[in-house]
Amino acid sequence: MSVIEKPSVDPQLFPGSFLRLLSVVPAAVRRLHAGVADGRRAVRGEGGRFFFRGHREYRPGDDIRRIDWNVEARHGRLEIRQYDAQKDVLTEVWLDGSASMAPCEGRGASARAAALCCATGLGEGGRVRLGILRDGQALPVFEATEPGQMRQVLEVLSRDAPAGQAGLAQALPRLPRQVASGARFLLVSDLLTRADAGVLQAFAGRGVRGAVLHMRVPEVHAPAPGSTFRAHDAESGAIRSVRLDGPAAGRIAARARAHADLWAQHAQGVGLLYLPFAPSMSPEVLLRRLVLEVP
Amino acid sequence: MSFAAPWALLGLLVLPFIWWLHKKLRRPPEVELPSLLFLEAEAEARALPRGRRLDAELLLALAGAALLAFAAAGPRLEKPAAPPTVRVVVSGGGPADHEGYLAAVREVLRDLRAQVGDAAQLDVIWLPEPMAGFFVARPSDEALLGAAGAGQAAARVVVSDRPAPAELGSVRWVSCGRADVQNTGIVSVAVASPEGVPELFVTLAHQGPRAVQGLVRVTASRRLVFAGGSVPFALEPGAYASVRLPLGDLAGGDVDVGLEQADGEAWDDDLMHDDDATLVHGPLGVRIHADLPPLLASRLRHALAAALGAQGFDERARAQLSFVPRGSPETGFRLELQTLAEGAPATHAPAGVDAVGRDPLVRDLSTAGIGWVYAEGAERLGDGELLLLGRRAGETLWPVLARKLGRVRLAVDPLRGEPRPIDTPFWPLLIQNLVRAAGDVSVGGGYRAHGLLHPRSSELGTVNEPLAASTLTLAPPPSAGASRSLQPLLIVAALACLALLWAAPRLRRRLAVTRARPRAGARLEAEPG
Repeated sequence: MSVIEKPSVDPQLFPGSFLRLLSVVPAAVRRLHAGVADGRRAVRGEGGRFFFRGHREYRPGDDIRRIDWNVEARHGRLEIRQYDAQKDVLTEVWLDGSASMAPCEGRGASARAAALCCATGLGEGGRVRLGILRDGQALPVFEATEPGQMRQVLEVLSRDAPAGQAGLAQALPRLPRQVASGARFLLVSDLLTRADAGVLQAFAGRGVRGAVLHMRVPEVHAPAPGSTFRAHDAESGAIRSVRLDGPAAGRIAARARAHADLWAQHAQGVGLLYLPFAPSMSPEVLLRRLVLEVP
Repeated sequence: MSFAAPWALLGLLVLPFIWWLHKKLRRPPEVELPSLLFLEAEAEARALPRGRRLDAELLLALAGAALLAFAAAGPRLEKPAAPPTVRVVVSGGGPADHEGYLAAVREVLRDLRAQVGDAAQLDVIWLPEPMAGFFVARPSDEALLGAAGAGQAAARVVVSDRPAPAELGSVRWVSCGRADVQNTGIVSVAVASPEGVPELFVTLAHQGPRAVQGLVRVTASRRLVFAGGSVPFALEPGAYASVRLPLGDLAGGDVDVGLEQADGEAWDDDLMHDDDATLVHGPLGVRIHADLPPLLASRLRHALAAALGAQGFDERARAQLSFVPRGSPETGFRLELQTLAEGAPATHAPAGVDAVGRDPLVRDLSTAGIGWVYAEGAERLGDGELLLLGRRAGETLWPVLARKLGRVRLAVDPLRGEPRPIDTPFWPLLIQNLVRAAGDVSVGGGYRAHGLLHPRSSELGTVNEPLAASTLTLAPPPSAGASRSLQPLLIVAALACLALLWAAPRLRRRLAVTRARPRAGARLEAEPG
């Protein structure tokens, strides 16, 4: 007797095309890094201060911050310090698990974004720890050490359905204590919270690098302007009748922009890249931005 | 209203479904959003113009469905069937006014009421109506049967103190009284002077199982008025006797004729009402109330003078107009006149057909063309009043002349109306009838007899046949008449509702009422690039 088990990886969240993309992430990471000038990734890029390999002659385009000025003072020539790449960089991927992530194809988009974050970290030869932010708690759910464990990552993401509230006001201040120093921190969230964006200041001075992947409010199949619709809050279940005319839509969009700008400002203030994305954004584009822009 | 297919009314159950469907379809669409964070500053939309505008469509849909359901049920409008009526004609007048007979009649009516219950209506007609203190001619059997057979009724009953005639038809005859009644009565009294000397002619009749003997006594002012004193008579059952008595000098006084037993004791039989008769000499006693309006009193006097002719009348300011045929005022009757107070709102009797009874008081009354105006608060019949004259408008009778025992009431104001009743023939005829009822002036010799004495020996016999001996059968009511089907009307109305329902949205669009077309989607926020 054969037992047909439910696929552990949700094909709705991770379709075949996305799985094929994941399989080529390590090669893509190498190819993308190879094509990038050293100067673009010099600050916190390849290698670290503790894996010194030697000097080489300065070439135009090198980051002048890597010039060893002691050599220049003694010998009168410009030499560049070279380091070996740090292979065991830890990538912390924290996914907002609240119910607000689900509507309007948000669940699939956020899960895929988290999967890409994990694949990137593993593709660069490091380790990945995946965690969920829910109800004010930050719960690690999986830790992967090699690209072959991406399937488990996808299974974890398939099992965890958005529910409850994120409680970012409580969860974010606790995160810096859980994130290892020097680790890459990636937060995937819609940031739909009344919490002060200043909670990100908890990351200041902790040597955390990474990005805030902001899933912006996706497009809504709303009634025509001038008509009334009942907005249903996915998190709280509250319902509010709203007459959506042109001015109202403008006001709502302005509030959303101001909200995003505030979080972007605070993220950049603590050294985190603010990376907005939408469910309709193609995974390839998001992967490219992750590889090229996230430190 | 009746339905050919009442089960089709189950179609009304679709109405709640239409209501639910309307609410479901017309409810503002619900959109799940990640958060209301950016919407909370917007005012809650309270007015739902779309839903309000569609309420008319809901009403049209409900009305159309309901009308279709009713039409499918095949409603028919039928004239309401009147409750069955039992027409009861009670023989009155003559010796039937005897209290024992009246009590028996009341018993019969109670039995009738108990038999028919509340399902039928008793229509009791006295023929003629009883008048206290008056001896009214009794109707014949034919008259009773004719009155019972008139009009529409589920059952017809005659209540009489006489045995049933041979031919009854569909009329049920109820005799009440005693079969062995013993009665001797004065049939007629007259004064004549065929030979220059006034003589009294008295006719006696006897009805009873046993022969009787007695005396006829004639007195004037308690004095025997003829030389022979009391005249003996002997009557076999069913026999008549005539007595002729020479009268002496009566000096214009009243003459009392009575029966007494051979031994001088008072006459005593089962019906005492016909044992005495009074011949009244001289004018009729009439009293006119002193407080009558001057115009009314004047017209009253004129009418009385015309009715009484040379006899004239006594006017005593003691009561309202009263006719006193004998010395005792309590045996007379009184005409009550009422007027409408100045400035009081007038109540007009509606246009209709005058309903005239058979009472002698309304004989030959001309009521044509009179617009009655009621005296204050007199437009209703009082308790126990008998309607003598009224106006029938629809199912309602508006009284004009009513009587209760010795009181005759004119419900309308004789000084109001168009034309005024006192200016029409109605007024002198009414007074003339009153005068006639008060005393018959045709006796002769200047005498008037109190009432009319027309008992017949054959009418005095009574057979007791209780009503309870058999059950009264109510004939089925006549056909309720043609009924009208409402189905076509309802179908047209339903189709009209549905057509309006179909046309309303198109008409609104035609009239360029603002209604934006829904779009495939609208962004609340620009999508990040």
